[in-house]
Amino acid sequence: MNSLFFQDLELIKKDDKQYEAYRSMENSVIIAGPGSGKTRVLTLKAVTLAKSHIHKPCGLACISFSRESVRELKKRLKSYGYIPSSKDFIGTVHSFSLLHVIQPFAHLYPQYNVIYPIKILPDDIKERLYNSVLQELNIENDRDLSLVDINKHRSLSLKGRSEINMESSDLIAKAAEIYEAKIRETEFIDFTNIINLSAKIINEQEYVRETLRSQFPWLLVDEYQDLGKALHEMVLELVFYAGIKLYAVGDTNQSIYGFNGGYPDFLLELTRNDNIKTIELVSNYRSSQHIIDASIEALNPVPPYPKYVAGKRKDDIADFTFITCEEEMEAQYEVVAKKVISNLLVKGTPLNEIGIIASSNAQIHNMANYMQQQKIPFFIVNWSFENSAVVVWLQDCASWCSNKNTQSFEELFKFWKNLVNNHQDLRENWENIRLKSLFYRVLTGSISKTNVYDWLTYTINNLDLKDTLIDSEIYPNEVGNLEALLNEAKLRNLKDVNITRFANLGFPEDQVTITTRHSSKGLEFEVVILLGMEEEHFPSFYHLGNETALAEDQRLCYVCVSRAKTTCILLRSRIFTIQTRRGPWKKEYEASRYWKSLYNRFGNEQNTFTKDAYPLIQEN
Amino acid sequence: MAQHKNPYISRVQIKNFRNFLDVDVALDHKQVIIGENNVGKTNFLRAIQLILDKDYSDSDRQLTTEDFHDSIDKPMENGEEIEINLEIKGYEHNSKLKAQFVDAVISDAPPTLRLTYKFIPNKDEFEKIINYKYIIFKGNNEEYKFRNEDRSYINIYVIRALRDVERELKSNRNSPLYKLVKQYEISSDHLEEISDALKEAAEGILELDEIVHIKDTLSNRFASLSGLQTDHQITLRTFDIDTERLLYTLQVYMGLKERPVSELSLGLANILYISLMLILLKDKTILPIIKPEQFDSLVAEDEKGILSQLYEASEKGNYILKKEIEDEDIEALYNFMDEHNYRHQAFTILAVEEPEAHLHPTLQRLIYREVLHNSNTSVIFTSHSTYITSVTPLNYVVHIRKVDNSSKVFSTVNLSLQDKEKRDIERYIDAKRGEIYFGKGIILAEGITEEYFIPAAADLIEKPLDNYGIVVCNVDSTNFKPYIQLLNTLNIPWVLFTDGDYYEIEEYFDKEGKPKTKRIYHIIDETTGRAWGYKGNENILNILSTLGIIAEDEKLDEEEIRDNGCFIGQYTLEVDMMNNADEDGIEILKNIYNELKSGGDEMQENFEDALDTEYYWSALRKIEGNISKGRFAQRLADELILQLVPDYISEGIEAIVQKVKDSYE
Repeated sequence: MNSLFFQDLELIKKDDKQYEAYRSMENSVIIAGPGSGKTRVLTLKAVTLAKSHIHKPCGLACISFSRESVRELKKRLKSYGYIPSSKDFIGTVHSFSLLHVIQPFAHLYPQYNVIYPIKILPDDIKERLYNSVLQELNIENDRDLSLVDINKHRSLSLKGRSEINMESSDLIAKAAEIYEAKIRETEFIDFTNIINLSAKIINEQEYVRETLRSQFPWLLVDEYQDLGKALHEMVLELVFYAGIKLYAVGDTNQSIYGFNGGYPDFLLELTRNDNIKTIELVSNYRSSQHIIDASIEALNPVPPYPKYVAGKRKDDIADFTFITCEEEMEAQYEVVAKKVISNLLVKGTPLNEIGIIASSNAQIHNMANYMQQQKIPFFIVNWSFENSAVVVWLQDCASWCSNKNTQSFEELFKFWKNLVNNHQDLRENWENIRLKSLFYRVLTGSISKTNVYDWLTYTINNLDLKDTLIDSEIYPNEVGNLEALLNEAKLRNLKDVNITRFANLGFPEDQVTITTRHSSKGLEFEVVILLGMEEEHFPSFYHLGNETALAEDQRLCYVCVSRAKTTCILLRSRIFTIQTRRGPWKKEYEASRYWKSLYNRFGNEQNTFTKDAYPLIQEN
Repeated sequence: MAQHKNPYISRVQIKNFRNFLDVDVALDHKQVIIGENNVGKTNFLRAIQLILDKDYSDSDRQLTTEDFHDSIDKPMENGEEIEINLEIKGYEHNSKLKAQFVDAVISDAPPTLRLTYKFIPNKDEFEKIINYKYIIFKGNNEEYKFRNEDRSYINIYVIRALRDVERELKSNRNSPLYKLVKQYEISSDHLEEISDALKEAAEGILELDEIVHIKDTLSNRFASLSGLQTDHQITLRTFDIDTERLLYTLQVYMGLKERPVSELSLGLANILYISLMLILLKDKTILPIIKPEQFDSLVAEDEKGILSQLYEASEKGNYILKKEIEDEDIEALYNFMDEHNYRHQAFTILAVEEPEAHLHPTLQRLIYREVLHNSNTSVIFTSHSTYITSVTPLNYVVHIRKVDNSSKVFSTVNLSLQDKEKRDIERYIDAKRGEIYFGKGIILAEGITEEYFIPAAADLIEKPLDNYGIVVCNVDSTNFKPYIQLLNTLNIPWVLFTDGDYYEIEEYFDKEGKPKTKRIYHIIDETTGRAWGYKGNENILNILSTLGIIAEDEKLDEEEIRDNGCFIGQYTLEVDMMNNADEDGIEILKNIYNELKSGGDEMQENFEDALDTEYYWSALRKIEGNISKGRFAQRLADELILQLVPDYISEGIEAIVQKVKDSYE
């Protein structure tokens, strides 16, 4: 605990609800709206528990949904001066299942048929199995039965204590069954297997529950709404049948991972439980009054509603701008790159306070092209490579190379040594010090390479990283992923970039952020620019008529709008060309229903433009 | 007040280490390891210490060529490995152990941990041996290293055979008394108060005229010697006691005269030392004394109010655990404390080499009966003391013994006896002082006559039992089965002698005139043509088939029965002897009777008559009636001659001697 810890503690003492949430020692679920400071409360709570209530050999267990939010969590803990012990677990639900349930326990129970060593289903085999399922069911168009839907069904069909049941079609159920059977015939296990099996083991084996209880007296869960049924089952089992204390944080209105099986209903089930205390954090410290009103009135979230905290934001700035373009996405990219950003800069908005939210990775890269032409520095949340454990480690190595105080050499070495040991690398027989010397030589040698591509090639080649990872059982797709990373560094958005930039990939520095809607969660900006606000694009054509999916799209829009502190700029195009059998067809698109309801509430002549009419303000 | 028993080593496997080539033995919560000198009792403990002893250094764990079994040629050039496996059970009641050893679990029914030590070659990528290293890991995965941190939760403490108990007791930091006191975390405020008071009291000495004089003289002398040295002020002090040292000064005094340890006998000092160790190693999850502030914070967590019910406030304001507590309350209290008392606590297995050292047999029996039956701490003794083995519960014996060229370890953990049999045999071992465990070979006999007769017979055929380490065990019945089981389990060679008890079957009619049969004993074969049998043979065949040594209903001839270690007489030993004897032998028997009988000449005449007319049963009845079989055999042993030794006895002796010889070559 350091001065920042106490400073932040003083801060939350000023908010009764935050302080109550921080102090709660019962099973608690914290419903935290946008901008309510939930991450701060959670990390303060985590540090306090770890220091005063959890003693060795017990540890702290913090579970979150994505690797990014785990990294954010670790960074926060570190900023409070907390150094995780070897007994702590801070990570994703997948790694929790693997490290703390399957690896230590599955071998005790042959009935679960876990084959050691555990091999993760590689992408190419996954694709092959999926296609053979399609074939078996005589389905020609993979849109009719996506792998995402199959996996979602597998996640949701897990039986347990929860009373929440989600509907699914017979076809998907059948496909899921065949797909599961096909995986069972291989020597592999996939991520859905891992967490479902882990939930099953926890549900069925008292000894496992008891041991987890001895290891982790508290279970802290961030982003509960995203975590899906398996984790929900594990939580119910551990809390009600093993006596582990729960501290869960989430927001039903920000539940946007339905395609992964993450529905708000699970979080709601917790809040309905009499043995779990629900605390609502409603003060919104981020956004202006208008943005809050907008998100509430136009997008109909379920209560509790965020409340504006007076004095936080100036309200005299125009909150909303509606820009309608004529044809295609290109028009939107163009107006953003040529006019909107420039106008914001004139008004004095820093680059890193601008977020552009697009609907797909393809859109992000197109947007990025326009930015590059205009020489506007930008930062991409979704890269063409996956932010895998190995990539995160490479970033940390880069970080050590540019500043030795940021990372522990021992920790970096430990990760590499584990890679070597777990991959039939001949060097596993080397003496520790020989391995360590090599690693030290390579890292210190790499410092002279300041360009990301040079640095990556030097480091990867000298450590023989690809040879180590080839045929990896734990990271089956990693060699391909490294290729993607190298490609990005050689030709694309990481080209000619300094390694410090690579080290800090997660954090924009004086750059405009370009992100997908889903990845925007957890970020915040002064100004949010929303692209592609056409009906049938957002919400998607495929979601029309499906109430659950529509509700989720609406929550997604709520998430996007609530990223903004003061300003929201919405863009749409009237016409898109669709390729049909009879040639191109220019189809007209209406404005998105979300555009319409925001426009009805906030639109006026001053803030509504066509692309050409939108002015370019000159610097004076 | 029942409490959970501490974790214990439930299985040991050793490969290629010192005396042991390949050993796999199950152990229990307490173990008494017996075996001859130089058979590997100490090395068995060393194998465990390689993994569990926290006082071992890296270099202690790094073995050398010498540590491989002798039969392995150039072990470190050929890439041979030493491997030691321990399994640990009985840890699951403690949540901290469960959390610490997740990676070591190999079964949950019953919960079992495995720890492995391996001494293995380090090879380069061309399979060439660079050097040797040791690894110690948890469970089945070599990646999960067993470290010192783990040893701070489960470890072993070995009290060696050659120990200087007096020094240990008096030493400061290592004294078990000091360690025990430290566990209570006495508040430093209290100690400072006392240390101040001590200083103050001691000041008085400095004011004595004599002391003042000494100080002045010393100052003057020093000043004159040191010349120009200006700072020559000399001060005298009595105590410079910091609070920590105050605890070192605690010493045990014994008896009304409060004698210090240095004046105690070695024996008493040993008892004191081992008792302190046992207290020190108790599970301290339940706090015997709680300080007020800690009590308050614990009570806040205590929803069921167990604490206020089971503790009472002392005058000094601490809370003390009550003495008489129901088992179920203890259980609840343990679970509560397990969750809320985070004081680090080690679970130590105590190993004592030769705990009998310097102790009078009566004390040995008294103390170790208590330890072996009632202590919560898991203990391992290595012992040569029949007094300790005689009070050892039957399932706690481990026998290390040479088989071929390496030592093997046998334990009684899985000895399956019925409760009754077990109690019988434990009582027997207790009464006979555990002699059965210490023979290189055992002769089982059914009565007092054999007990005297057999050693004398062995001397006559020039196979003195003592020379071969063979012990005669008189089990006072023909119920040999549990003894055979015990001896087989411990791999101790044995033979047994039992009477043949010849009988004939008589046919008769009962009152209602129905034909019946009955067995008639105590007759010499009269060639009546009646059906006949040997009760002794039937009994032995029955035992052998119950033990699964022979098939049910399998019939064996005399030779085959003897091959199974069983030597059976014709009638009963005395009768067989008389039947065997010629005039010289009969004469000896007559003389002994004459010497020992209580009555007059007529009594002697009757006895001689019986012998002369070959009414041997009648002669035996006279011995029993007028002297006693035991007394008669006792005297006979002195005057025994070869013709009085029945053939089955001498063959049996030859057989056991051969077995012992075989197993030691």
